[in-house]
Amino acid sequence: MAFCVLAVFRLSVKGESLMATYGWLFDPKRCIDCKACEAACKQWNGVETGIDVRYRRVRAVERGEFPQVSVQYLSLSCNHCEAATCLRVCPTKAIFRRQDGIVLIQEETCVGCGLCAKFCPYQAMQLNWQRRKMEKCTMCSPRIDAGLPPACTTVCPTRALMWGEWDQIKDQGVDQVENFSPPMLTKPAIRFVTTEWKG
Amino acid sequence: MMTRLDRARWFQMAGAGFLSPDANVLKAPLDSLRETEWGEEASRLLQWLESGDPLDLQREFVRLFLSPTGAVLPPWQSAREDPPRLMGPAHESATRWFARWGVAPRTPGEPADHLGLLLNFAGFLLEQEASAEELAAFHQDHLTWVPAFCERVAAEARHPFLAHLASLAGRLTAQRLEETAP
Amino acid sequence: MPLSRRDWIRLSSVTGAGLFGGQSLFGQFFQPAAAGPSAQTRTLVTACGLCDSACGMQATVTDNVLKFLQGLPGDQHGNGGICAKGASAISTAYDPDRLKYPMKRTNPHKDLTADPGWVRITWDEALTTISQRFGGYLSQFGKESLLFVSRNSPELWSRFMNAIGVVNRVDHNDVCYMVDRIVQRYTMGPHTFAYDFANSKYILLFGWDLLARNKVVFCHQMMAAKEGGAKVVSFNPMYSATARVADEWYPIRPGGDLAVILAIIQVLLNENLFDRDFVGNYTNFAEYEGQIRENFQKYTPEWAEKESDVPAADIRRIAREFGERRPAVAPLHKKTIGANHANATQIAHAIAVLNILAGTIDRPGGRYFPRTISIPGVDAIYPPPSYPSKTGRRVDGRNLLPLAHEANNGMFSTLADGMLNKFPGMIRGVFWQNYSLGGFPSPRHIAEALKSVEFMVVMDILPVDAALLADIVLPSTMFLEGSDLISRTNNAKSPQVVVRQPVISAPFETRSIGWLAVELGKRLAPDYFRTDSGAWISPSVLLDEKTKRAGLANSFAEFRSIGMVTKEQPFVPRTTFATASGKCQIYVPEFAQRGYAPLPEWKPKRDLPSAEYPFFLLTYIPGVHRRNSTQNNKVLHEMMPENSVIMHPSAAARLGLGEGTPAVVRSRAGQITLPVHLSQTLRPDCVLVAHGFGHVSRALTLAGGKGARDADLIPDQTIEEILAAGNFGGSGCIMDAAVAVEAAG
Repeated sequence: MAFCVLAVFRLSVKGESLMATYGWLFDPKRCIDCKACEAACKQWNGVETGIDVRYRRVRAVERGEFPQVSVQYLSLSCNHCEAATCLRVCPTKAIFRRQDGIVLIQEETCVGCGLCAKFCPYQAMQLNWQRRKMEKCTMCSPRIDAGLPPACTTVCPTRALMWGEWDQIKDQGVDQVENFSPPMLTKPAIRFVTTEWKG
Repeated sequence: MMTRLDRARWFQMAGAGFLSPDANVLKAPLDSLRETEWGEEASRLLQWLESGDPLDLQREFVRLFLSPTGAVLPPWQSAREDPPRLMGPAHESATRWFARWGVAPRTPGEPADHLGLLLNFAGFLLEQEASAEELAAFHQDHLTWVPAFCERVAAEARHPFLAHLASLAGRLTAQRLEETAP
Repeated sequence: MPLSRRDWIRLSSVTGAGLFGGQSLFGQFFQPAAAGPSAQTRTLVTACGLCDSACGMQATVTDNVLKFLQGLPGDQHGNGGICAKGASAISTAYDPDRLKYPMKRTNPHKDLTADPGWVRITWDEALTTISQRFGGYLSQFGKESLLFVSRNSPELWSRFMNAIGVVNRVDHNDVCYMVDRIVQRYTMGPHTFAYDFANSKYILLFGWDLLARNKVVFCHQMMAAKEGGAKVVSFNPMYSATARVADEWYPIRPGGDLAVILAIIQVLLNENLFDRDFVGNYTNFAEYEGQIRENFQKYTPEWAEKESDVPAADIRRIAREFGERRPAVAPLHKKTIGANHANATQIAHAIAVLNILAGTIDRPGGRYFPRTISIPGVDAIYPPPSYPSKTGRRVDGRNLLPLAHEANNGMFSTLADGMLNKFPGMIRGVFWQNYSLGGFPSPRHIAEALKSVEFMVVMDILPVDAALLADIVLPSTMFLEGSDLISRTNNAKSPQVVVRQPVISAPFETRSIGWLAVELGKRLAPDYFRTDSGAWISPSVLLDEKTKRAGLANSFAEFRSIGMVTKEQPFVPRTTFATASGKCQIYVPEFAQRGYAPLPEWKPKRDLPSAEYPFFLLTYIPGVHRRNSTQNNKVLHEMMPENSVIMHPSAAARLGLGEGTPAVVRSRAGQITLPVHLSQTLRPDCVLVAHGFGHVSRALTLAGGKGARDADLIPDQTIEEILAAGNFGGSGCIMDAAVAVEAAG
């Protein structure tokens, strides 16, 4: 596995990549694990339920021991990486990148082999075993094309999950937090706000 | 092979049967269907419709399709999807089909992809001499699920009228709509 | 335009003879309609109806099919966001398990497992049958023979119940906010859940856990508080999303909150750290100062530490901070503490005192009364004849709790005892609306009681367990299909009204409870459902009238297109309060007059751990579910399909339990079996079970048979037990149980 990742990494360095136009900005301290983003994603994209296909997922990770305990919440989806490994390992070339950097799966070409899932560090690739196809977050590209933000970001009640132009976002936060795989391999289009509350 | 118009009548009768299994609605149509190729089937349906306690038929109809404490086989195409739902793509597609032909269900609260409405409308398309392409498209959009569904209804039904209605509807839809005799 | 041949055939087939000679079979089910698909997409404003926050929503609808729900910019409640429950409401609207048509039972044998033998009936038959049965009981057995398990809203429904003189209306508020409502009524005025967190500098949370409940209106305000530099301190036996934003978290012993609050008050009084201006001018402190100081003197932080496990030094420091960092507030909300234990009334009173001493009642940064636009009610628009007196015995014994009786709420926790033991056979007809058996302590007792009634009507959106025992089932619309004017009260420093409008049309033959009120009213109490001109009251005309008289628009249709009205106004703090004295009352003379303690006193919770039941039971409502009503929603079901018994790893290890091990949880009331989930987020002496699961009915395709009911562990009560416990606010005690846990055999 380590060898494969390295090989892909080298490939990705050589391969040409389109720069991200849009990206996510996530503020973990503001997330309350409400999962409104997950629900909005399901509804707008009409994602099937009951087969554990989730384009976006809020993860809760407990740390420490009672009573010195804390919980980290991370709402994550596909990060539309600038050096996406999924795209490079797909044996049928079903994964492609739009001009604006959004990574999409061409359904007709996908054979549901799941190789992309093995190489995605962020568990973004979802196997729909009923249809034998891989699915994932499209950043709601049809909404973006219509001038609307992705569905998940429209409902977030605490503004923990934000989205916008990558040029505006990429310097607003850090590229790495605990429980988020190191970004240097794939260059995910996400930043994390780690500043403390003003108080 | 059944004529187009006879087939249209059978579709409309079957559709009506799944919407309202009521002697007041179905007696006259079944009477007239006794002269068709499936005349004997019409006679049997008529007999089952009129014999016994009408409440038994109503109870069984509700148990199968509408029970407020768990219907056995909800008769909407969207409810056959996995996971089941109402007003899914099949409802939207049926609504578009109806609108294109300038008709709409009289019961506005009923989703357009109810089995009875779809069968009834299939009969209407046959009656209207819709083109083979249109018939094929409607069959593909809305009737491919019906034979398997009707087989389950026929197996589950505890009333002979509904069991037989279902097996006839299954036979009707097992043959593609566009493969109707002129 | 001349008809084409196709048009001509079509019309004859729909309206004329068709294929069957004398009639058109197609035309019986179809009618001519405008040709051609419209594929029109619209965005409509509406208000959520899942909880009483009623966040504003934008609904995207294509050809009468709802596609997407999102927040409404400018809405004070949702702040442009909504929660997962609101965002998933589409999946409830389109749940194939929804109740669709009125049905009547033909099998007289009632049992949760027997086939009721349903047949479909028309609404007319349903209305006639209900009117005849209820009318018969009223005339033969009197008003006490009917039980309405139903909220006191909407107002048309409440008018109907008043018009026929329903004595026994029972709602869930004894397991919700009734205690707080009673205490507020006598300490500061009408009940409010509005807190001005954004301007608070110090926030003390006792069990208040609304971030974890995803009450959006409070979530974004708490974020604003944190951004504004507020310090937040949370006391809760479990660490949750709320404790996570707190600067300090104390895993307090269940029931010990009261001790800590009393001790904080003691420090505030002893060190004179209260707001002297407010307390001197707007409270009855001066009048009762001696009694007040004496009452709290004994509650030292050192004493409180023994009851709560919170260090005395921390209590003292927090009290000082609370007194000095103004404005400060201590919110209280419903289930999170207001109804948990037998000492809930004392807790609510102590928290009221804390807020009064902080001087923040109806002040910036405190608990305040919502500013609303006055919308006239149906009784103002169509004044009714005087209502009949409500004479008869009260089945739940609420009349023995005068304050609860006056509040006109409750009582779930004593209903089974009343029906089965106190007044067997008295209740003959039941109307049951929008409630779940799992919402009752000891639901098996309620199910037993319901089997004993002669005639029961259930109205709901979904096939709830109670429908299995019904004689008539009525299908209800949901909020996405309804119309109303929603006045906002949880974040309302300026008034804001949002429309609720049908973003989709009512499916099948579903009807609203307001419509039912008028239809039953016409049949059972016609004089109360006519206008001056003699015409029947029409819900839509009434709504037009309310819209006009409230100055929102010229008609409801016009307000539908406006969507939301906000009247920005300066916040002018109250100088008089709606109590008997016109002041905030620390000492409540009305309590003393009735023989209750006029000042909050220490009382332990009722059921304490013992050798037989060594753990405290805690319950919670998970943020992705709305009480018992959303477990069958496919999106929310996928997020959380069932519950578990959550334990600290050390406690589980002692019992030989690991992650996923099936365990039996037992209390004196009953037992449930659930898999164990290990977590470091709660006290080792507590066991935590999520509320809302364990629906019996398999008619709920997704939720039926999943998880277990926490309520099966919660003892129901007799009114005598409540009186003996000094629980004069009537808390339903929804967490007051101790349990044992063992591996399932």
